[in-house]
Amino acid sequence: MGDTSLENTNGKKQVNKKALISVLVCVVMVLGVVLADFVKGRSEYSSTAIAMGTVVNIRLFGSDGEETAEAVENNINETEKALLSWREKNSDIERINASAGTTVSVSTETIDVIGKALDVSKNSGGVFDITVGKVTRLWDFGGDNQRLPSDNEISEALESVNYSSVKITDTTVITAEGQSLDLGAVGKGAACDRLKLLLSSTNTESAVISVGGSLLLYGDRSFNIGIVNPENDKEAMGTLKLSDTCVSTSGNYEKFFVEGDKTYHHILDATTGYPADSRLSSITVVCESGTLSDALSTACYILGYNDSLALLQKYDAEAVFVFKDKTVRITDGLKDDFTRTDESFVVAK
Amino acid sequence: MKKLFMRADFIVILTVIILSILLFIPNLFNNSTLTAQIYVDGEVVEEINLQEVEKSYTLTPKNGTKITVEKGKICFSDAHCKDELCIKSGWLSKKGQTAACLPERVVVSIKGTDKTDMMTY
Repeated sequence: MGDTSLENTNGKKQVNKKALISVLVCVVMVLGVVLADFVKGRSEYSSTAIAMGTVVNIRLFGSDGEETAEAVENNINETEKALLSWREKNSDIERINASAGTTVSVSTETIDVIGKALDVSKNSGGVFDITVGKVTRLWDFGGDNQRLPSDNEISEALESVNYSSVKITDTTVITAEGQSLDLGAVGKGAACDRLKLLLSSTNTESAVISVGGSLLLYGDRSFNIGIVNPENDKEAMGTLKLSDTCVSTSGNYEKFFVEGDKTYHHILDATTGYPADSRLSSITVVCESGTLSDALSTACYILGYNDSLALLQKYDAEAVFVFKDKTVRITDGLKDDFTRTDESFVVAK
Repeated sequence: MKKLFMRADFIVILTVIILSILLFIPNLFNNSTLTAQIYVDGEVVEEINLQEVEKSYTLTPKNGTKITVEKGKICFSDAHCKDELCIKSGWLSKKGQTAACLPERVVVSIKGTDKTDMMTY
């Protein structure tokens, strides 16, 4: 009898000990999850800024978020002020325009952007053209002097538009006399490319940064990118699940004005000098290079769906085309990544 | 015959359930918070919990740029810029929505993300 009671006491003790260990294991596991969640929460840093005349949204995952966000903002300002804005005194583009017809030494980064833009100009048959500066200045979309220019003014300005006059070497650019470069259609994408380089030297694991409509998706983390509904700029019409790439959208709703009974949007066909007569409301291009995604979104908006496919293929780029009648066409490489979020749009098969 | 569950198992299961509930509560609380941030020249100058707003009021963060706050929503209500795009943006009431007055460098943004991590437009 005495032996049995001893066994029972030991058995009970053992059960209690087992229970205690199990509870402890559970507590440790749950605390681990809490801690991981806390660390993850801490490692995300978000901020909003204004740079390049647009809103910049920054979401960084990793450490040193605050310093990195500041570096991101400075980097975008540098892209605008020192390299690509024709408005900024002494930027590379302002100097090229001021000395049109003579050789100008500029940074290799600017050469790289001009080179890519010229390539898209050529491959788009000139509907996209970075020498369109004189024409865009006439219209001045979004500026203080926005207006409908006369046919004569446009014909005159068009005489200076010819991408094939621009010659580049590793460090220099020469344009034709009277010619004016405008890199507005690639600037924000080019900023994304520079940010990618910047982030690779920081402690950022993943990031998503929007510079206006151009986005940089950095690292392996997947992000849900909303494509804006052309009829309601606060809502998405669909999303793309993407990682480690660049995204740019061009749409007729971004900058426009109405005169008489006609709406004039800011995407100019460089061969006519007038807003592109497109069946599209918007096009979103996904490409490894931000400069190319930005240039292609403009070029493909002007070209329309059928003529864009070969151009996109040339650059290994994919796209979502949103038509004015709310039809949506998606290139094969993006079909599995796209989710429609607004049922009034119809995805064509 | 052995019982399917011993007393110790119940203790473990109960512990896990209680901890899971405790873990879920802050998440539930966080998800329901709707916080608007007002940026001027890149700095956050005002953070407003939109759900705690009882009476509509107006803020003037910079040079006559007015922002109206109501329960659950916020908008630009006056600006001196030519295009008034900020006013045309209308009410912001969902996470991730942003409106900006670019000339005055004033941004209103609702913290967090909804179904999308970022928008392209």
